[in-house]
Amino acid sequence: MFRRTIPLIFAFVVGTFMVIQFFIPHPTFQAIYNGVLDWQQVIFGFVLVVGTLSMVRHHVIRIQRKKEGYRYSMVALLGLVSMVLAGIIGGIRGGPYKWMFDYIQMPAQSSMFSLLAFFVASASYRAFRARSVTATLLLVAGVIVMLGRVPAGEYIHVGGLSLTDISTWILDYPNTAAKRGILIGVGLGMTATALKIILGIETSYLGRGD
Amino acid sequence: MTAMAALLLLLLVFPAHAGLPIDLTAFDTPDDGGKSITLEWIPLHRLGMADSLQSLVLLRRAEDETDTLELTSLGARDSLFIDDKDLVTDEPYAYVLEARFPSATLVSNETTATPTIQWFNKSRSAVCGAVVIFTSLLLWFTYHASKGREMFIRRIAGLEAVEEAVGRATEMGRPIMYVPGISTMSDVATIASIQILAQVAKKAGKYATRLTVPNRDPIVMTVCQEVVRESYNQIGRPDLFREDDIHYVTYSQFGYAAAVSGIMMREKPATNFLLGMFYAESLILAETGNATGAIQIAGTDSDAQLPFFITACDYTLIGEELYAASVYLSKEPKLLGSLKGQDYAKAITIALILLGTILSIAGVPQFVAVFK
Amino acid sequence: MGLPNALLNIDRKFIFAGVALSIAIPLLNPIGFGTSVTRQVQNVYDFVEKLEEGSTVILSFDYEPSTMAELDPMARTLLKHLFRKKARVLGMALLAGAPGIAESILQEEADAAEKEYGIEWVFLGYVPAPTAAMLRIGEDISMVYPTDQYGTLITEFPLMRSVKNYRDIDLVISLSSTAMPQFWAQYAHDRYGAPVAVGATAVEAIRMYPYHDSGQIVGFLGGLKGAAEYETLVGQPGEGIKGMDAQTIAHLFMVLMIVIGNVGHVIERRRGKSS
Repeated sequence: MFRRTIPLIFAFVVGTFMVIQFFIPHPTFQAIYNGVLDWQQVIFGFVLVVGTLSMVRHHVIRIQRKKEGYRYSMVALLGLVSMVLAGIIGGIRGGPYKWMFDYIQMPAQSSMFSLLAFFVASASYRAFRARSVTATLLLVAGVIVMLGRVPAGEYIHVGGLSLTDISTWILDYPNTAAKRGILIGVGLGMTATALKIILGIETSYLGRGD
Repeated sequence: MTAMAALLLLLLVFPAHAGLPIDLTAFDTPDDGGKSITLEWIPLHRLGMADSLQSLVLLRRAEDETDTLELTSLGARDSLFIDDKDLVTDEPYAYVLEARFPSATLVSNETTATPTIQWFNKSRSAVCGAVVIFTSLLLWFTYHASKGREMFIRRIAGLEAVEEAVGRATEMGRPIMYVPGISTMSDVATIASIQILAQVAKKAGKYATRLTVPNRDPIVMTVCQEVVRESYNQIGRPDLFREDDIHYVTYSQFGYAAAVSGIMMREKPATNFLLGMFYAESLILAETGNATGAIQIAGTDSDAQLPFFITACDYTLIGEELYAASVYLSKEPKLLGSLKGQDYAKAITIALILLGTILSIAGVPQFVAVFK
Repeated sequence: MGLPNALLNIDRKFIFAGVALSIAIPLLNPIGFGTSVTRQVQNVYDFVEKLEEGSTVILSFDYEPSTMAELDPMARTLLKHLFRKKARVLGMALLAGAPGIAESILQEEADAAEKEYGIEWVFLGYVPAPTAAMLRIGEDISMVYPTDQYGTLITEFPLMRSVKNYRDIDLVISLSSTAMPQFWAQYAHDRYGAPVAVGATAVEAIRMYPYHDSGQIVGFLGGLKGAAEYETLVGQPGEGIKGMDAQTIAHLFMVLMIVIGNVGHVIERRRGKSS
């Protein structure tokens, strides 16, 4: 009962309330709704601690068992401890914390993001092949948008239109139409999933499929 | 001088008026919780009084009191104000606008209104109708499916491959990595992903293949741990559950991408599931997995990331296929019914879009206006 | 089968090296490409241009250091424009890694425009659970941010005395590499009626089109090009315009690689047919 019935009743009551409150502006409903939002933030604060503990545990186990690449785990734990200590001791507006943020975290994260440029190049080299009519259409559209989104596209003209104009048209119309189609399907799928959970039709998220 | 002349002219034209002929009206703000009053008036610039206006002040008093509160200072172009400052529900309030000019101070007509509570937000009627219709369709088809009615579901290649992908990892003696996206539990894509995780965990558990789930969100991590534990319990293999396999990484988007890519390179999972909500990190994860030679099944409702997954993964679930996946894998009749309901809702949506387009072209905008 | 095979299977290391060079060389030796302005960016500019003196704008830094190369130039140019229009700016951050970036940019731009803290701008800092925060601001901003980033009660700031919820906000701008702009559109605009403008990374900008066409957002700046366009409109050339040269050459390099791959593919197919 505690592992199945009560969670399902809870999901039904809270879910139904969250749907209904959207249509009822009464202050009582809004107060409860605001309370739910506040709880969401409070719970998030607590689970961050749970997450951090999980991370520490994961890396400690790796180090203890000397798993492959366990030295990286040492670096991860060192990073965690030093950032926390630097923040507590020197504050977050300056000192070692700000230094580490500016000169370690920022470049490290920027480097990860910049990998995208390299991966996009190798992936598009592999994927954009004129294997069929549809693949050729994709290839042509991809090249037009790639050139049209940079100043070079303004200098290349096809039939009186610059590649920038053609790429803008592709993004504004065929792209938006396709995206709307996907969005409508996604929206309905989302609503159906949410309703299935609220109504207790779908329970596999509780780890129980039947 | 022109403005002054206009002002003098107005005073001559409206001698019986309190001074400011702006027709101030107040009414209870519709569709709210009884905490605001809306005020409308003719803007002063339309009366040619903008140039000489020094200030325009809105004054309020509770109807049975004499104390007046200066609410706000307004401009000559303003014509609307919503007062929600400390109003008491069901108490009447009186308002006037006071315009100060170099030569005179003019006061508008006094108007009163009472803020009241509404029990239904009429502006959301169309959404309410849609919720009722959609819920009815879902329940109707679920009911019929549970009574044994046959429901057809088309083949989804990516989901057919799940068994093969799990089997491959088992044969190779390497783990399966399951990435449930980088969003939170409030994202339905994450919930859909967790539903699939339950099925994947059961399949992996049957072959005793190790399943690892690195998480970006701590709440998602907690739910994933519970789901995998329960899945193992259901197939009678609780001994397979290792809390450390479903672990938290970091909340940083690209920190997470870096860590997961590192795990992929070191542990070389035979199979990667990338299912849920992804953003710009999707290609980094998919390309790293591709480079390690893993079989990759991806799925997201994030349309911007679909091209990356299609390019770098073996199978991709597009948009709503992600939501259908759990139903597809479990083949449970009542869940299949809900998919049917979803299809009918989509058919109605398409019909409404076509009807709206035709009527708008035919010069009947009222139909579309109903949905605004 | 030598040539087509070589063209079809270029080692990714060479492609990576080509990308690195095509970005690095133009950055070190600028060429000076200009850029035209798209409708979506023009709309954001026009909206800000029409803001009256003293308007209140939320500038939400919903990004982390990873995407600062694309989004920092947008933040700086938007702030220059907002301060020039004498708008009051509420800076906030909905990701844990964002306050460090937001703080520096807000402070530097406010100092350059000689704006006073607490009167013309404030930095409210970071709060967790972004969607809950967006919805709660619709009711009462002080419930989400009782204090600013530095622990001062927001009621002590003259700027915050006239700001309670979205009704007092003239524009919300979200700079993001994730789905935050969509949430802002769905919650701040659809639910509470606040106008929303967006600055998104190039990868994410593509999904902004339907939101723009449906009027849920006033406009958006997409990637470094969006930043360059806005810099052009504001008349303040910055990192966006500088980056356009590198982006142009990198795109040309990618097109070249695609062409090479397809030449290999065509030769291989023809040989296959003839044999």
